[in-house]
Amino acid sequence: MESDLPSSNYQQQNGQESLVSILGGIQVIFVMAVFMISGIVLIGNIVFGFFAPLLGFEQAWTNAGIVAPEFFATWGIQSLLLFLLSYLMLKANQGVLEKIPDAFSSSFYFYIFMAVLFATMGLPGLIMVVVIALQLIIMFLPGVRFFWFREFVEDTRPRVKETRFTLHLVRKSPLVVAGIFIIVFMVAIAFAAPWITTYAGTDMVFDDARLPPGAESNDIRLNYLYYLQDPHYDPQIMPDYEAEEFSITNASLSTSEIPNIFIGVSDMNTGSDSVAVNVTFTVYELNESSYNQLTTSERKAYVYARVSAVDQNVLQYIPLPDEEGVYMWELQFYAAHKTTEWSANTRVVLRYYDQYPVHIWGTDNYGGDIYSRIIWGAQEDIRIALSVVAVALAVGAVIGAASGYYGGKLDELVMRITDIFFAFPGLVLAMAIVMAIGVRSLETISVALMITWWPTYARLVRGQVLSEREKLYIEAARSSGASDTRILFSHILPNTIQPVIVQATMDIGSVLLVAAGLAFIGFGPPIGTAEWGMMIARGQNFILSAPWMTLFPGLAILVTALAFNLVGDGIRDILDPKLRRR
Amino acid sequence: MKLRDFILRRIILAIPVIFGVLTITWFLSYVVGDPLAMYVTERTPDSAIPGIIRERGLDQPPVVQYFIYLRNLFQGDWGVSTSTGADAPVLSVLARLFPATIELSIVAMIFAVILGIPLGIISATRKDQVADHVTRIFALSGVSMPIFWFGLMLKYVFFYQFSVWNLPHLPGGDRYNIRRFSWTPTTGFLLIDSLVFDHNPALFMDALYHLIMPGFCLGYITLAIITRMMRSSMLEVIKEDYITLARSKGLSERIVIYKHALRNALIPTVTVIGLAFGGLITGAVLTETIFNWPGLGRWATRAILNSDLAAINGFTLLVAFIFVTANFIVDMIYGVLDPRIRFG
Repeated sequence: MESDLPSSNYQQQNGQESLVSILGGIQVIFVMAVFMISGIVLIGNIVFGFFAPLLGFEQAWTNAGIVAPEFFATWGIQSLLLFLLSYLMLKANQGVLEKIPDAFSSSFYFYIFMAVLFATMGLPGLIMVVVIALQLIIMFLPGVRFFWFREFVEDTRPRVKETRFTLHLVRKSPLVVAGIFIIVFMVAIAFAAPWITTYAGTDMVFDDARLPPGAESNDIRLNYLYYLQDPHYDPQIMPDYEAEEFSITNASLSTSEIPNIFIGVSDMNTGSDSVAVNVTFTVYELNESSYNQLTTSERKAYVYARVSAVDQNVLQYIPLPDEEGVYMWELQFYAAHKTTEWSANTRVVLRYYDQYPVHIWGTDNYGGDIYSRIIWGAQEDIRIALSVVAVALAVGAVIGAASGYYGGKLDELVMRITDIFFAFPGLVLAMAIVMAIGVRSLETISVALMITWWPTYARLVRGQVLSEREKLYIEAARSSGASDTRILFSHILPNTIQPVIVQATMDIGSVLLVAAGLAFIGFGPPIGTAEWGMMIARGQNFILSAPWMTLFPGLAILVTALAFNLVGDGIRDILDPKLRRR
Repeated sequence: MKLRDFILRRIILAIPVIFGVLTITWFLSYVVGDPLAMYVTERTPDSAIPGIIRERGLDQPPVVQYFIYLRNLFQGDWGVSTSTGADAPVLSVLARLFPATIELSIVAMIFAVILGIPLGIISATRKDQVADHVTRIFALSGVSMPIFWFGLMLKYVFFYQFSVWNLPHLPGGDRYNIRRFSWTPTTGFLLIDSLVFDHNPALFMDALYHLIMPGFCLGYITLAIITRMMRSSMLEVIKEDYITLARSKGLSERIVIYKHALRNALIPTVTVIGLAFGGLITGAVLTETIFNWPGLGRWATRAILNSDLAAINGFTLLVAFIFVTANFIVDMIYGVLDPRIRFG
């Protein structure tokens, strides 16, 4: 900038000022909005959703017939973190308006955090991400960049260098690399669950109960070309018919099965199978549009095959067309007695597949596919573990930092409270909390674990802050007039974050175990939900006849928790200043 | 600070913690939960309920209830447990089941210490070599493994599969073979009772035999913690000047490690062992459920399934007291071993 003339510098300055004030204005509006919205969701959560059972609200709301909007519960954790973040951002905004370089860089960091949080919140979140991206673009426009970017680069250079060195050490440590690889893999699997699973997490296929790993499914609905059950035919408007188009493809022609149909009609009231009804099943060599254009008599020319039965169940093979093409099938009923006494319960099955879904890891006693359930369970378990650690970390860090920084009575009080929490083993306290709340669900488990876990971080952060507080650079910051919050958040916390990260990484592993343990002893939701601990609990009664029910979910927990522990343990060695650089 | 003052200070600091524990359990069972459930069982007639409410002061304001709760606890009235078959006072159930859990925990701790310390030393002296990686994975598996799953798998292999293969197999549960032996508890510790009071070595061997699998299962977690602590403290000690001096004197590596380094590296490990003892009680909840071990843990699990609030409350209190005591003792030992702590 040495070559700049004073006049041009002045003009440039002028243009930049307006840009910066525009940015500041957008930021203030945006952050205020986020602050308010997250505050509302947070309060809504406390009153309605997540914490309601804790405070005893739930019963009252239920009795009053008040139903909370769903997003209260789904965005509970995000709203808490966003609330904290936007509060901090309000402070940074002030700095941006006053054009303090540090304020730009801290709002830059905050925006990235925020964008990550919003990215987990579905469509509204995506809109917010776009808004954040816009603001980041403005921040990097040459006019605004001028104010902060150079100092930002200067500031981060030593940090970037350290990070590079850390990454170098990480790359040299095979266990950490393996751990990171497994974590990425598990998270990817959890996200990809809808595409890589055959069944939903709650599916129960009773025909398939306790099949060993690798067994083919007996599930009629998945193995058959058409499956139609329970179209309730109203006897008043009989005769009635069903018609539907189907296509025979190359894949379905490579069958080893003989196509057949099974039609059963039974009296719904008495359960009797011998209902006086006339059933006709027809296959036409027509597609749906030409079928619709033709009249009933014209269609007769295109009949490929027909089966009829009177007064009985039909169990009969019907030859399906042996070449690729689009066909129609039609099912007609003629009831002999049109009374309201009975209705028809039918089942139409066209068998034409030889590709049976395989339960690669077997099924449980309700016929749930272990493989699918483990993948759906990955979603639940990883979500619980991450959310518990995130909330415990946020709450614990704020409390611990405040207590360490201000010291005195506050510190004494906080430390005694954490002492009390440390007097309980994690699982036992969580047990007592879940028991007291009385609602058995994964959310209750999360809440209990959050309450159990925050003191760990409060202690850890407090210790770090205590040792950092007296250092010279803090003294320098204080004498240059920086506020307490500023010193705490932009000087002390970044320098104390490393052991916290290590602890958090390893805690994700242990939260996973404790959550699974709680679900195992019977605190999970009553039935159905795929969760690893509950899967093991379900499997333990069948351990001798169906060990795979227990083996695979346990392996899933082991691998995931081990990955987090490997990374945490390895990173601790890497970050330990005593072991670093010899 | 003198040792006596140090101990006094610790005791004074422990008092608010104990009251905090009492307050939390009270809060959980009286404010969040339903306190009446602690005194009313299925067998209580409806007509008796108003009487119980009045007698227990459940119609009083919460502050008064808190003091009634404290008074009851100190008088040894911890409510009635329904989950042992018959209704029984919680305190007597705790006293009856406690020895079984302690016996299991001690055996587990022996497993953990015997295996954990050598593994930690190996891991530290061969840092970043294959032996280190293998040991670390082995140790970390301990803290990454759901203990109930590990127990089930052990049981499946060593109890069921071994018997299928006609190999000598370990027993799958219980403290001793109920069909072969009869035992009336004296101290409640089966190993002591069978040798000292019953003079029955066969029962003693049988009890040991039954302890192997649950003991190892429970010890494996602690093993991981001990190994990790041993490794990191050993790594720190090895780089101290006096170790370099010892090496430069020409002492063999064996003597340097086992005589000079080990002793100093053991101090933090001892602390961890003390603290982990409290953690064993937690692990016992799940292990006992798997191995049908008639201790506190299995009882607590049953209490949960039966929504037996009094039992849960009693169990939580007892475990918290064990934890506080263990921490206290560890603090004491540490203060004695390392005088610098006393001035901290």
